[in-house]
Amino acid sequence: MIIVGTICSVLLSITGVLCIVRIVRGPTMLDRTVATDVFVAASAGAIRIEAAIGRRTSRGAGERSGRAGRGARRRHGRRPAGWSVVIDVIAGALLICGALLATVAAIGIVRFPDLLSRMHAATKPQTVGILLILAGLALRLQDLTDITILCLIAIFQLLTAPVSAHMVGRAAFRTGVERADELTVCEFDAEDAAHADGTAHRDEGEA
Amino acid sequence: MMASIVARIPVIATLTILWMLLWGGITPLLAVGGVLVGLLVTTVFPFPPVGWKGHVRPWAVVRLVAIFVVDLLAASLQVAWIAVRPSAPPRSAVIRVDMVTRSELLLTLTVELVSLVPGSLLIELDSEHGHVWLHLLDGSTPEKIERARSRALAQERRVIEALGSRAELTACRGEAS
Repeated sequence: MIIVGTICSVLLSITGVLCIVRIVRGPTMLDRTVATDVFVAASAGAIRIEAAIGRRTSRGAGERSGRAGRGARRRHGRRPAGWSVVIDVIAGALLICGALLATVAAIGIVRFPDLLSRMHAATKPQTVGILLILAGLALRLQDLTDITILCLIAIFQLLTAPVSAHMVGRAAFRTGVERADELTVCEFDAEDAAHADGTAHRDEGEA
Repeated sequence: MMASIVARIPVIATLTILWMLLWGGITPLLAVGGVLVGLLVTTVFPFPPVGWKGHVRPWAVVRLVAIFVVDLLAASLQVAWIAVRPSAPPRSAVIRVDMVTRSELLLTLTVELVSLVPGSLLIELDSEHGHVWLHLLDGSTPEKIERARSRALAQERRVIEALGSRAELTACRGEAS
């Protein structure tokens, strides 16, 4: 678990540095917002990984050595000897994969040429990265209350990520941050924007 | 007043369950607190009613979720590879997809799933006409663009099969064949 912790902290540090690069370089406020979002998610991931390695449940580390600790020993007693090692290996692999995907997301937001491409990096690998870290954490904690909350976090993550991505993407397109001439195909024009707004009602055939 | 509270009971019940899950326990005090918070939230933030005339088809829901999980993993690996590979990132594209359904709930679900899945991102939505504009990360060739379009439509089809009404289902099948 110490090895896992080291690898994850290296990966997440790289993520943080890359996000700061994008926050500093901009060029627009929206780019900075996206980079900050990834940065915050990486920090939250770091806290989760720390909790997974230290087996910190919401009941607190101190109490765990008492009542919960006995419970854990009793649970371990019923299992075959190698079982907890297997679970730890799987959990470690999930944590590393999650941190790796967060790093890749940060590489994406630095390397991609325009805002909307960066949004792709920020939404997809990042969301899966967070899910993997949550899964690893759930395997390590093995505490029903905490796992319920982890599931809630996962569901809300999946629900909200596309919404924020949509708002940023829409704002980028409306304000002209995104340059249409860099696209291969653009089936969206000002007329469509007016249509979608409901400010002008034209026939469907015209649009 | 009473009628509006009765209409909100399902929402309040859901919020109460959520509240107890967040606190991590089931006690009478938490249940009462959850109901109060639910009442407060639904009063302070009134929500427009969502029209939905479909049926839930369990098997299709399972299929929808399973394909979604696979797609999500594949999509993130794909985007991850584009981010780290040595060659320059591909040029993007913006496409318009015409959806079959006009139901706001199904449209929202579909674009939510599409946004999360295959290299596509929602930028604009016209629920009145069912138009959806998507940004594609990799729009370098016409084949890739067409594949993304058919994927978005397939996603919608799965959502309709899982939750849509019978009329939408026939409309969707008619368009596909």
